[in-house]
Amino acid sequence: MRFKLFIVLFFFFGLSQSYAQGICDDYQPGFVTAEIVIPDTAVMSFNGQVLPIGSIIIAVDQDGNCCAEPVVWMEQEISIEINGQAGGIIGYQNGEVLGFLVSEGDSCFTMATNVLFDNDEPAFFESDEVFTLSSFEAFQSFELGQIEIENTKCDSVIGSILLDVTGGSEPFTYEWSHDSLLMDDLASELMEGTYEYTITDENGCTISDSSVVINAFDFPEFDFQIDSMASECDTIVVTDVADCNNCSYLWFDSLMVETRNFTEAGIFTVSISNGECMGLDTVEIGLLDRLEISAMVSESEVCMGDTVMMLGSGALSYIWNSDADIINAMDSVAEAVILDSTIIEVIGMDACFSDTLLLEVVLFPMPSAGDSLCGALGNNSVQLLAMGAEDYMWEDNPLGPVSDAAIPDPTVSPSESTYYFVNMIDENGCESRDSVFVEIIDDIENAIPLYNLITPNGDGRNDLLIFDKLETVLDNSLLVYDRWGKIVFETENYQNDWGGTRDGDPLPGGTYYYILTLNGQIFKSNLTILYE
Amino acid sequence: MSRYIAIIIGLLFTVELSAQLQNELLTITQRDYNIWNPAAIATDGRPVVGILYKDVNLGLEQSPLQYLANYQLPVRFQNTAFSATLTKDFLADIRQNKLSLGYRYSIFNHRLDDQRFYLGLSADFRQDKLLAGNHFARDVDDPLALSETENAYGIDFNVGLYYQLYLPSSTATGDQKFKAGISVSRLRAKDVVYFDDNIVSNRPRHVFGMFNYIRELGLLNLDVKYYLSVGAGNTNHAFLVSLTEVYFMRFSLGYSTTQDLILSWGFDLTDFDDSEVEVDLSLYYGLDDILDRNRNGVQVTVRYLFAPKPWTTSDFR
Repeated sequence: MRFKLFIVLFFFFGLSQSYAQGICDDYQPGFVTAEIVIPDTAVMSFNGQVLPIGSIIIAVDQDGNCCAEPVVWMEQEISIEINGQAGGIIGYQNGEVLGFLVSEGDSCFTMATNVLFDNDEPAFFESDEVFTLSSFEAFQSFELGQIEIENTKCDSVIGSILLDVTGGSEPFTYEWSHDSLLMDDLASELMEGTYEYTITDENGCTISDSSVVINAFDFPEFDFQIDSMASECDTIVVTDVADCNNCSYLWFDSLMVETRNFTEAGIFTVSISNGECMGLDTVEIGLLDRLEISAMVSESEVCMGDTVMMLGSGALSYIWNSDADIINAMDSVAEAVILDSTIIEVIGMDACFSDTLLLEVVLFPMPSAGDSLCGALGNNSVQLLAMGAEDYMWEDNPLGPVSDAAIPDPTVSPSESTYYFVNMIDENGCESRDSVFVEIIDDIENAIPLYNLITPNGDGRNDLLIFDKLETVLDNSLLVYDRWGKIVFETENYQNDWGGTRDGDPLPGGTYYYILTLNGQIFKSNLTILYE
Repeated sequence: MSRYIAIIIGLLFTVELSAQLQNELLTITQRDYNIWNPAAIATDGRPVVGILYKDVNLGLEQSPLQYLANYQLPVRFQNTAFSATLTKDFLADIRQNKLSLGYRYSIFNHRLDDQRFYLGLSADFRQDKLLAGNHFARDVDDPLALSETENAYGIDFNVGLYYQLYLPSSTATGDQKFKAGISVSRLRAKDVVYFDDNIVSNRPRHVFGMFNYIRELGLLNLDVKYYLSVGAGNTNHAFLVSLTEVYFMRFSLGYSTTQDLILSWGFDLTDFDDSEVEVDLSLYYGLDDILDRNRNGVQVTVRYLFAPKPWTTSDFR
């Protein structure tokens, strides 16, 4: 008995593709209409095993319109003819593939023969029975999902290609044109060049590409140099003179610049990256020696008004500074007129640096006409006291003549306060002129206060009986006595040094009296001594 | 009449009288020693009112100046006497007011009745004033240089011995008297402290001694005195020779080792059996090199002696 199954075939597109490609890539799951005629005597078997009743049969034609609607094997002889040609049939049972029936001369089944059955042997069923394939289901297509390419770079890293397939049916097989033995999805140790691969899935479907490119990257070229044209004396500018586009720089001090300044000597490192490779470079900086000048002065001790000569060396230009008047203050040789002890500063300069030296010029000790003196009007004469010179010559004063103009200590009796001038020549031959003020006090009591309290407790306050301006009076005496008229202290030429003692012992606190004689004028006061 | 005169004089002086430092080294009194020796209180056996004025003129406005008023009262058969003395001492920027209350006790020799021995004690109640406003200090920031008057108060004591011997002559003239005394003033010798214990002036202890010899020469008497003063590191001697009873006057010439020449003149106003007034004027004339700087002094004493009580048998126990 035979039955016929009519299946309507639906063709979609891509029929012009190669056979294997056609079934794998272009056909979507669907049905073809075929008539499968299975003779009643047919026995369905695979690999010598009779298909059990209830097996599902799928017919495939030679053009790849291979998948007929599954049928159930019902111990019938079947004849599968697909589009007028002998076809094959595949059987399933309970979801497992049991066998595959291939028509003669159908290349489509070449791929199909890779299907393994229970015993890993291709299963064929040949029959002279004719049956018609009424429908088929195309294989699932696949494609290259992602390709990872690692370029070769930096002399140490070589390239690789990693293929990632999506879809299709595993297992996949990989073929590489550069290495026939390589059957992995990863091709490594690749040098710069173009590579080709082919991927085949379980169903024999393939994809390939012959234009995979591996690029090569080298280290960036860099060369830091001191930019001598941009250098300044205390600053060295270094810059990268290599053609390193898009390079980034990282200096030892985290500064990220291509050109930078240095103010000190040393060896400095910089890391340069071109995005793929990173390298190190060093820059050695050596600063110029600083300027050191020398200078000298012709005389370090001079008379007032003398001129000294200064000489500087070691610099390109000079500046001389001083309180004294400087001649040629911008030259290496200068002169100064010394009117007082002074410090002469010389600043030497070259193209980069400057240096400063100080030269000291002091005056010989100046003779002096003495400190100001004080005299009482109409009383004793005042003795002048010049010092420090070898020759003296006092100038005439109409207010009171000098007793001897050629001695250092003549006496004078001016009618009113006045200056006396003296011309002097010292042992160094320096000539000088000085004056002394002679103050004639006609109200000496107001000029010299008579204090009446001392507190000799060692605190520095009122410990001594002190008379202001006493030192200006040449002739003085002090007489201190107690309340009973007994003298407790007496001295000529008092030096403001009595602190309430008698023969070195402190006097009892209480009331005392003193008589102060200044140039013959007598002043009296009581004096209270208090202790703490 | 003389009594009223004495009272008037006393009142006049008392107006300014206070009390104060004894001006020790120039304390030379002609007839009354109780000012500095409490054992010599009322040794005349009569109540006495006395005043003293002394100016040791050193040519200064602030020279030492002293006023003194004194009252002496013998009681209990003259064995005992009391005194009260007010003294005011001006010493530049220091003032002292002092009240001295004295007591003395005498030991009589009844059979001879010409020898007496006295013990005396007095207490001083003292106020010291420091006129700091008069100070002129060079360093005004000195904490000891005050600007206001400061006061200090204190109590001190004085003790003394006094001996008196009368030797009558067997002739009309030639009676002799010996007097000697010694005293110690300011036994405590406490410093005068002003202003929170911070400012001190010293009040040292002093010892005074005297010896007096009197001889009746007929129309006049010879009176020789010696004075001793020791204290504060000073020792001073003074000698005074007087001719007394010269028409109720006395003339003295003396010398002090403070190099002072002492000239003194005095007179008495008396009605013999009644009250009596004694006046002494002494001049101190400096002999040392301070002389030409106007150093000299003057002392005036006036004493009023009340009429003596009639002798009673009890006085001759």
